Amino acid sequence: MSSDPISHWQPDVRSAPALAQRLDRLAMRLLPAGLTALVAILLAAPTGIPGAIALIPGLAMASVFFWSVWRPASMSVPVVFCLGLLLDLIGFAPLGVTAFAFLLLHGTAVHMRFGLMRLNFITLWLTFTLLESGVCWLAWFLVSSLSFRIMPTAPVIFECMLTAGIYPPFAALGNWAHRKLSNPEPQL
Amino acid sequence: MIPVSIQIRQALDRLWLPAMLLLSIAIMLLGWANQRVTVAARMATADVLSPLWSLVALPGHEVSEAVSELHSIGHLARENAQLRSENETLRGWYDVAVSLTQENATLKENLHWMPDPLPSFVTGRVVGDIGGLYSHAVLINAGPANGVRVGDVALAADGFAGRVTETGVHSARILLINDVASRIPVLLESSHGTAIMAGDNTSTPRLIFYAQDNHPVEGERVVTSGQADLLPTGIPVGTVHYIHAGTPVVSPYARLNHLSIVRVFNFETGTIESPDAPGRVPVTSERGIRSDGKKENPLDGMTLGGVVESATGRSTGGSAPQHQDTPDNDKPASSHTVEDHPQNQNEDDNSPGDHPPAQKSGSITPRSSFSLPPAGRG
Repeated sequence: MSSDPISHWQPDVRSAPALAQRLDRLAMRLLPAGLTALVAILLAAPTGIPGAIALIPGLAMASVFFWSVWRPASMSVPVVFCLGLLLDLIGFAPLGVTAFAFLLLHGTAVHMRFGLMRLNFITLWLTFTLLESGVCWLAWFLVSSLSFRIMPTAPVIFECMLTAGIYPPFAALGNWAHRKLSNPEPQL
Repeated sequence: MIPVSIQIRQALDRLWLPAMLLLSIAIMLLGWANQRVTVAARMATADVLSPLWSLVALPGHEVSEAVSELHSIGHLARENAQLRSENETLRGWYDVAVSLTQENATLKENLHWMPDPLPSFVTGRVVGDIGGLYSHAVLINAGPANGVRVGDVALAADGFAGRVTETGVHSARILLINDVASRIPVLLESSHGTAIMAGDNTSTPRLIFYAQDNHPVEGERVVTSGQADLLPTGIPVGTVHYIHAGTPVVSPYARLNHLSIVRVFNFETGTIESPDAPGRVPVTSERGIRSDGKKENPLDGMTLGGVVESATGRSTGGSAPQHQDTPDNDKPASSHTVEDHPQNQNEDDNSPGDHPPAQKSGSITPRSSFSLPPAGRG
């Protein structure tokens, strides 16, 4: 036995987080996507709010983009996939279309993340508008080709504009939540 | 957590996106190739979520009812005057209806009218508005356990709303008449034309395939025409409206955007079996075994001689040898059914000769009018 107790001390070894701590971190991590899914499910109920159904994809797209840019740990690839699949299951679109489109949006947002974070809000908004238009038209193309019928284009244009309009209030809310919720990102 | 090096973890993280993209493409292709899996997955989700949806919708309904009540309090006097005048009109119509009902009952009694089979129906609350950008459908909280079957007709309080396309365990999906996939044969009541009402995802489905010399008239009533043997005749659908010259649409009676309660009717139209059409070219041979036990020749009665003979009522002199071993020679195709081709039945009315009217009396199925049991506000 060594007389020097400090020789056993290894500064690299940190204690593993307790189970409760881990659950807490997981809940924090899943909160944005969980809230988005919950809102989508609630909006699908016949509450009588006009245009509630049209809000669902727009809100989901804004959420996927916002969290992919600012906190990708909360909006990871499997989470985005599950969110898209849930929207496909709730709606009438062919299964997998929304999931595919959302994954592309997420991939692009994460890839351009550090560039996007430096932009001011207006430019970020314009970028989002471009990206979500692309996603809307991709979904339109996929639905049309899977059902062998050219779907009407008016809803797509409406959806693009609605989603662009949803983004600023969503971003304001998201910024607040981003500051308030503790960050589940690995702190390096 | 399994301890892995940072490099491996980063590499795995990078693999997630392509893997999930491939998975979603696989799901797309799987759903495209096998619709049944998609339908099962959707209905399982809907079954899980429908209690939640109905829970959410309940306060929504109450709030909207309270708001409309508050609204109506504001216009109470004007509404009262309007209701009074409407009541006057309705009283007149009530007298007309009573006398017509009386007359109808008398006529039916004198004609030995065979009553329509009463359709069975269940009523369900709309618990989900599960359409999307490209589709219009609702989910109701009644399923096969309550007697809802695929193909049943869903009526709102004021008119035709749609048809059941998928059923879960205790929920069913109704494709609305304004969905882009909906095609309903309709009858135009005052111009006596027929048309197809095709949904186009707007609130007013278009009318297509109407006769070019008999255009739909603005404002006339549109009812279902029962021609495709899927729907009964005479369910009220809506009124004709021209949005542009040459593009007639139907403005539906049912408020498709605000469906809250629908009734799902099972009309059992599929159980009506057409009688045999003697002397006609057999189209289907569903009953393969004859009554005398012999295996039927599928080409029986398809020779030109047999057709000519029975159509004109004169013998062609033994040109069809299979007729000689048939005891009832004037009915060569009596063991065939033509239920897939109702136009054969119509042609029988015009064909000369050998069909005594007594033989056909059973084929007149009383499906010409549509009547519903009284129901409360839907």
